[in-house]
Amino acid sequence: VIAYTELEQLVGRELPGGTFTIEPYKQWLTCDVVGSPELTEDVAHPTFIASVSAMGVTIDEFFTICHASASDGAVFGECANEYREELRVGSTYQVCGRITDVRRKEGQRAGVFDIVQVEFEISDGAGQVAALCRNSLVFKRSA
Amino acid sequence: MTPLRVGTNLPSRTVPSVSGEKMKTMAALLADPNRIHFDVDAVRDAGMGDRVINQGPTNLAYVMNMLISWCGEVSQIRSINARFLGTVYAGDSVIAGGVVKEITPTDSGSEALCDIWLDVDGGARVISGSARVLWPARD
Repeated sequence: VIAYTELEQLVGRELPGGTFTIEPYKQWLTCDVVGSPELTEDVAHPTFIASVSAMGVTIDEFFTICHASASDGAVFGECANEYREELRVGSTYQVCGRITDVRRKEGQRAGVFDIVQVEFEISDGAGQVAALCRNSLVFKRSA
Repeated sequence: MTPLRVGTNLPSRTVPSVSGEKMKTMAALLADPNRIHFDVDAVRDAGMGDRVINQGPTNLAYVMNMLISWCGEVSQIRSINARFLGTVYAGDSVIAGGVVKEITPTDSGSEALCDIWLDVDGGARVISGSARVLWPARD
């Protein structure tokens, strides 16, 4: 199990960031997967913010940063999304993110687990923040 | 359109049977390599059951769908906070619901603060949270 002092050093770490475009086929597939009601033309399903969050760094890369792997069974703990404007299909967005908190806990059944909080800003082509996303992921460290 | 009042239950929205096949598509869309979403052996190896497990963002999207159906436009949803409390398996039936807890007047209508949730039908609550939804003034 990674030492907590080492894990704490992740707080404040900036993620690589990047851009993403909501491709029409990804919108179609996302709406199909989640069973979306009909949306106004060109408006992205708001769950796109979740996939957006993964674009600054892939989920697998994020697991590695957190000293975990996909096989460790990481799960979502909490999320907080703030929407300032609709995300648009076909538009390109800039993503920047950082790790903002790390906590270690221990439960009788769960054993030792770490909660890593990461925040993202999603900005439109004009540089305006379109959405903010704060996720916490739970990494099980022992049985 | 139902008038907006504190205590109003949002129309619930049911997913009759969560699809394991669609979890595979979502895994690809999210570039999520966690095998519990597409490989039942990985679920068994993790001691988490014997059916594949739905992605958290998809579970939350069911709640978003309920909100969109209620208010009519994605742009009216201003924020969503959610805690992920449990697991949704392939084949589960889930029900998204909510209730208006607070109404605040705005320049263009009202903002409703709602409790929101997702329940496994006959089972546990798997998402609990809140959402702020704009409610334009209607004649």
